[in-house]
Amino acid sequence: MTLERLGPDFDDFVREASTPLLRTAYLLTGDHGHAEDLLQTALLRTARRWRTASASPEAYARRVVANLAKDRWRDRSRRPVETGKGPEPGHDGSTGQVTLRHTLLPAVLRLPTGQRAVLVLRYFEDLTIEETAAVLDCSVGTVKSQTHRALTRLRQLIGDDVLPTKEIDHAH
Amino acid sequence: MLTDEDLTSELKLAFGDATRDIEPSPGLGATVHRRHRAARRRSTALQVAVPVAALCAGGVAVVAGGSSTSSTPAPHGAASHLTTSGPSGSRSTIATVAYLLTVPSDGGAASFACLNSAAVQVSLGDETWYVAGVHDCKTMVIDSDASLPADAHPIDFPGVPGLYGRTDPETSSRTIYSRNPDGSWSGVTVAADTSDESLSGYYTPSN
Repeated sequence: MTLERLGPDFDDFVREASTPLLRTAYLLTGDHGHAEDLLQTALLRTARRWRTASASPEAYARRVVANLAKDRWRDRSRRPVETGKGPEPGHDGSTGQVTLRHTLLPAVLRLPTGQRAVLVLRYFEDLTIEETAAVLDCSVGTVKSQTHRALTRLRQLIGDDVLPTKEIDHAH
Repeated sequence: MLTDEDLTSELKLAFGDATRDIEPSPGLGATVHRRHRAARRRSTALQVAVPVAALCAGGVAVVAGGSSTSSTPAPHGAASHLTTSGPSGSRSTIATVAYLLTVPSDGGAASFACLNSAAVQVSLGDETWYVAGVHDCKTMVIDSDASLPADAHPIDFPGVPGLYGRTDPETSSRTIYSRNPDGSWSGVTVAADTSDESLSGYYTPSN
């Protein structure tokens, strides 16, 4: 494999795609440091395959990020659970009430890997079901079922005592 | 009861809130360029190195039954085959196997994921993950983006074919090279006296 010299089009890609890719990696891993590592590796792999990846570099890099996150989950599952990682649940500053929004993220981080990935890709990246299936290299049916299971599990995790943010806003 | 619409709307808000302040480090682009340039240099060196390595490998091939046995240089990034014939005339083909590296980590220590490796992190350099065991005080360096050097030679770990090795007398270390599933190479550098047996446990064939 001969590695090519990178041109300005690669720089443009890095400039435009790094922030969204890093944010996706952060939501997939729950850790800023790991997200940075994933992003850097994904950009390097994209650079290595630039001749073919340049047709749709962000899609290529997103797929690498998702695969790396999956590898990381698999490795972590063999080891004791790390504590103190990930965003903490928060409170609505004005009302003192726990908002659904603040309860959701820690709950998302407790979902199984596949379920978390479909939620991040569909509701953060705004990918279609088909695009999500392509990134995760699975069928459309799997994405649909994973999404359904993820939302059901989320409801169980957050319980009944939190309100949608809009209802709290209406109450005040 | 929350509807799916409520829940997904809140998810979008939560994801947006959580990532609003997440920005890449300013030097990211430069770091990627630097690492890519280093990989290009190694790649160029490898194109020269591989025929030399192939010649070395050819040196152990024995002509069997009067027919000649050729050894084809292994192209970087593609699976290669090294064919050898023993003096008895029996013939075996050893395919280059890709491996997932799994370095044992200490359960009581902080741990991290390094591509396909699980290990204890000491520090992270530009191109190298430094890892160390805890109780056995073993220190090793894993370069998951290594190149096969010219003087690496095929080594024979029991049950782990397709590896290459190189010893550095100056640092009393040895490096074991294995192919990654994506066709690139990983190098694991350990003390020169580390036994083959302890190292062979790190490699899991991926194909």
